[in-house]
Amino acid sequence: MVSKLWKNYNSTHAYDGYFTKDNKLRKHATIISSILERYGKKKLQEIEKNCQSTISARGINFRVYAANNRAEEKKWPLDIIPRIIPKTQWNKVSKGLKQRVKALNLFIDDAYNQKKIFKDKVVPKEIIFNSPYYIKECEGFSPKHKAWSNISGVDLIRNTNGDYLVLEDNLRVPSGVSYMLENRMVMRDVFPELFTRYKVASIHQYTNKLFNCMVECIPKKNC
Amino acid sequence: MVVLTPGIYNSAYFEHSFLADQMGIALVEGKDLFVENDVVYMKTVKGPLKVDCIYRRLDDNFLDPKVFNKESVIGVPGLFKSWRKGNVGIINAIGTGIADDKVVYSYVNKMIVYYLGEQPILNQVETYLCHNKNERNYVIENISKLVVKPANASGGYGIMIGPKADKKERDDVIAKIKKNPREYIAQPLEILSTAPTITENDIEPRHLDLRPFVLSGKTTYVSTGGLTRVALRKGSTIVNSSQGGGSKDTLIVDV
Repeated sequence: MVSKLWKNYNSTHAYDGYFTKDNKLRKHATIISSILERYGKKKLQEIEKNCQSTISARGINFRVYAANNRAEEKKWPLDIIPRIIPKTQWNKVSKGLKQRVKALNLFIDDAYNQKKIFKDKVVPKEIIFNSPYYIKECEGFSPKHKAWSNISGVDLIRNTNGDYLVLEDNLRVPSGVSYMLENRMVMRDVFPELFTRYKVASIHQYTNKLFNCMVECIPKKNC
Repeated sequence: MVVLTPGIYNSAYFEHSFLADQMGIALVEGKDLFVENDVVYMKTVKGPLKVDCIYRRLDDNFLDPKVFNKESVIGVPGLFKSWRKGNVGIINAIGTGIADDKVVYSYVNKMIVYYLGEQPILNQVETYLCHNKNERNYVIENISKLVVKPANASGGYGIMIGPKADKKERDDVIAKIKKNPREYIAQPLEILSTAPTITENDIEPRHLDLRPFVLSGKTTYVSTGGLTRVALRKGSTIVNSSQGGGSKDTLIVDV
């Protein structure tokens, strides 16, 4: 049953988060679809407008540098139709992320210390020791808990089968988490019905967890 | 504890100030910190205050002019030594860039097996390394089907999407690959998934990705969902906000 709202909607060449290949609404998208339908275009435009003004009022912006190095302050672009992921699916992804980051941290620690993985010829050592990011001054050092990349931003995509694939690991100074948190605050303001109709897992604990992470990384001497 | 920012001209300054504010800790620039006897202090109106941990948002190269880029005026002289002596925590640690590289990326599944003795839970995109002769030849022969990326760049810069590029762009990339093979990798073009997005007059599918955040200290924490970035132009797969990408709230729901 596809309503008027979706009659022109066509995303069969890619995996779509709302519709299956045979154009049926996915189970987790039925609630949002019924809300959007009831609202109609006019009300959606109104929400969109409120969204824009809330973003301005909260001062959510970012800077872009053009080729001539001129900076431009831009308002953060947020689309009001959310992405929806079922919890059971997310739990698996989350486990995979933990596993991956754990291995990456062990790798970095190994690369600056024992170098076992190179001796065992699992990873060729040239790709590390010729890297501009290899810092020889770090040799023989391990940060507390051997946690090198404390904040990792792992980019995921979904292929045409809907599998989650890692596209890249950002382990230096990944950014974007503030926008994740602000997006939620704005959405709660301008689209409250979403959060009464869906049982949405909270995200705001991130900053507490980050604070804890910093505390955990205070060297022993200072504790 | 402090958040160390390069300053208001940085493209992510909003985030630096947001996070410091949310955590209730000071947002500082390099000039607000100093090192004495290998201990880091923050200058305050009440005198120097010892710093235990720094969430730095500066690249390695700018952190300490005594060790890295000598021209850096946004770093803290002596910071590196203080860190190595175990007098201050720095997150992320210095030197993580070695594992944040698209060549190293192609070995992560092997690392998972090697270090953890587990099978990888998440798959990743097949990657051809241009510094291997056979793979390089494959890339050059199939350039029109592949996405070529610099091994070390971020922000979506320098990417060549074979199926969309013209002959000149392809030839340029081939020349670059031949010159610096280690600097390039290639991947098959994965069609990014879509979600409905509001456009000028309608609701249309737009391509997206997802950036979850993983925190590692004594314990590991994964953000609930992450930042969904969406390519707002029809058919585009470039989601970076610096290049016209947008975003969506990401709801993890019990259904």
